[in-house]
Amino acid sequence: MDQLWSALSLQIPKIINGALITIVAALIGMALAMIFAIPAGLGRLSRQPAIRGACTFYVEVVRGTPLLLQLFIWYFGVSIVLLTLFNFNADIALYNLLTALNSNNLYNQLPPNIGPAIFFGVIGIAFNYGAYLAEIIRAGVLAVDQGQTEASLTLGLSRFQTMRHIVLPQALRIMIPPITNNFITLVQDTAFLQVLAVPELSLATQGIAQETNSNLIRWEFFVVELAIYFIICYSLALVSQRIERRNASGIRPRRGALAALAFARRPR
Amino acid sequence: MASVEQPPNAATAQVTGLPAGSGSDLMIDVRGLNKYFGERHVLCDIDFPVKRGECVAIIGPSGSGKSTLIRCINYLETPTSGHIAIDGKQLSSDLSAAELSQVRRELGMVFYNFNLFPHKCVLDNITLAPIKVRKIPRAQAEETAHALLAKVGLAEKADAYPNQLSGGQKQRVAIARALAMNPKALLFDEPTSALDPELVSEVLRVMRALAEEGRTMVVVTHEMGFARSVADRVVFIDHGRIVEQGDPEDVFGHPSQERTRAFFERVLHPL
Ligand SMILES: Nc1ncnc2c1ncn2[C@@H]1O[C@H](COP(=O)(O)OP(=O)(O)O)[C@@H](O)[C@H]1O
Ligand SMILES: [Mg+2]
Repeated sequence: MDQLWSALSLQIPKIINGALITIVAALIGMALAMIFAIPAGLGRLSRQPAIRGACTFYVEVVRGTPLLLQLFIWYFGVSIVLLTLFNFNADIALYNLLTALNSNNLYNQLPPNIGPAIFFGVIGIAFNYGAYLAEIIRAGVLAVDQGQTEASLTLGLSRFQTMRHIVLPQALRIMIPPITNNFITLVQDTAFLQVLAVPELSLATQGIAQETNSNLIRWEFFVVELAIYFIICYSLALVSQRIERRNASGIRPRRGALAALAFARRPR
Repeated sequence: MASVEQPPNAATAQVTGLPAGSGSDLMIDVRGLNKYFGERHVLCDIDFPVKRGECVAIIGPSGSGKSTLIRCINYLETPTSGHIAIDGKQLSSDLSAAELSQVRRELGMVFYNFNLFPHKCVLDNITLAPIKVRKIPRAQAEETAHALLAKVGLAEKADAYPNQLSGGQKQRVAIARALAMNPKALLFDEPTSALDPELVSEVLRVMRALAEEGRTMVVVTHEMGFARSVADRVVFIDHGRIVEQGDPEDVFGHPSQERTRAFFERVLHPL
């Protein structure tokens, strides 16, 4: 027991570092993913064929290719293109971003030159999840009874006002559970960042597990990793439950719409 | 959309006694309206003028095109051809979204399934459009809303949510919501069809009061008693055509068309 504890306490800083990277990457990833998803989801409902086509293209290409591969494309392709075309340096961008987030000290603990990997890794994950979330947003908007839109339009509200005041508030309540689902899998998929050598929670744990010869201690590290992932994900679930409960009031989604939402979820 | 230039149907003009083609005293003017859903010809050459202050009841079998007609009037459905004018303002699919909204805010619409906004309380349902569309200050909009709620007999329900109301109460809120925009005309699409029988009269009483105030109303209804005693004119539609129309006493008392007689027979004596 003592031996287990001392092995763990030695490695706690690395684990905490990994967990922090995972949490920050996940939070930024979620926010970015929503920024991709909202225009893409609404765009797929646009009456302009060009907008609709572009958004459908995005969703289908992202859904139809593996996340892992997309991360390599972002890292090796996009980062070089941006650097040559716009002299865009992801390392500096990451430093500025973390400074803005008041997490400057995190940067100093990162391996050197890991900036592009984190930057494009997080963008890649967000871009990927944006497509799945776009489908949830589209399905959520469609799940709101058409009569709501008609009632709003006949009162003289514009299409934008109707979306803003009538459709989206109702759609959001329907969308919270599947969005939470995606956020939870997003947290776990930040583990993919390890293929770009980002020392997030999974890679950090593997690293310290290799430093010992004891399978028992390895097992201990992985249990700790498991607990940390669970705490992060379960907190998300609790937050979403609270939001859902606070908003509980008589929204009845259109029949069949919930089934459509089930399919909009990211398959695991 | 092609504007159909043709003389108004002579027979129709005769039955209604309306001056053909005169603009100024017509609140709603529908001429030569055709609507196709794909191949399906749902409305055929409809001429449907409604005078200022007139209450018109539209009756007819299910699927005859009543809802489509009333939905074309505020462009929830786009007509295939024909022309529609609201208080002299021509509607067409060329209108910008803003212009269309200008027209729609003058036409209150009441749906058979209420379409109240479930995430907003009764008061917010009523004040939303006056505040967002007419830019009326909130305090003033709420004052008007309370007055309208009192008028439809729901003064104490301002803070309730739609799912806490009975069907009849919901429909009266929906009417108050439409009235809050102070529209030039009200369109009702089977406002009592989704109600339990004992709740129908509370809604019809509100509608009768509105007609007696001299509001311009178009009411699609299966309530023959309402059509006969409240409406100034009854229009019978079958298979997308106006088969017969006129004074309710004439149409109900001695229908001139066999199809009208058969419809009354089915509706008034279902057994
Ligand atoms: N959006 C639509 N698409 C295709 N057909 C429709 C649509 N709406 C109505 N119809 C058809 O048009 C006809 C008239 O419908 P409607 O105006 O709702 O009749 P009513 O209100 O008199 O019962 C019906 O045959 C109906 O099936
Ligand atoms: Mg109908």
